Amino acid sequence: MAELIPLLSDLLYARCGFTVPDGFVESYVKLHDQDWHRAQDHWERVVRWVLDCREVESRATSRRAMQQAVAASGAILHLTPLLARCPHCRAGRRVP
Amino acid sequence: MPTPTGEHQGGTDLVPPPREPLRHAVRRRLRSVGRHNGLRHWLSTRGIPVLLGYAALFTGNGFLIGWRRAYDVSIGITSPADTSAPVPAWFLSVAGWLLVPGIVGAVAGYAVSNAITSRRTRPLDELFPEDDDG
Repeated sequence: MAELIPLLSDLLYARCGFTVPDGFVESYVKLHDQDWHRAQDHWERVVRWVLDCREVESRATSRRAMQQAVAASGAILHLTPLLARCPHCRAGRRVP
Repeated sequence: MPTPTGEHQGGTDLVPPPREPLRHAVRRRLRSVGRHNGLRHWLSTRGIPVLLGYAALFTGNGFLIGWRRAYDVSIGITSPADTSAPVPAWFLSVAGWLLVPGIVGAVAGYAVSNAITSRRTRPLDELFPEDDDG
């Protein structure tokens, strides 16, 4: 369901309904030592937090709100100067 | 749930993802509540839990002091001191006094306020539907 926080594995597909930076899922899962469950847990926490941020339009609901939150979450986790960090496990190493 | 389709982008050197356990699926659904807005978000995060708490309080009192008595206490007809179990009845009475009118009033106020402020917010170009034929 496109209204729920998407599975990281689903974001690997071109037509998943969401937009994330290229290579984000791979680097984020590798950041968590390929522990999909832990990566998914931390990913969901980030998106849940971003859903309350101004990067999501205040009048956006359901699918549109989730799309904006996922895009913002992927961007901040992958494209900021602090590349490939996870705020929940403080895994700060760069992923090759 | 529609399956994502299209080209598989990257991730070829990752271990295959495991199946999502049911408890994780439930957790993901609960964490997705933030996608809602306004009243629906409030109901999901505050309203329904409060309502369930009140329902549990009413049910407990119903078994202790009888259903009719519980109803009378909750709407203030009967004093909780006049029941066979005054301690839980006091909680029910306070909830009936404070929570229910407050919440119902807030929801009604929100609905009215929303109706008032949403007047004349429709964009003009909605008059002509989008031409799908291009």
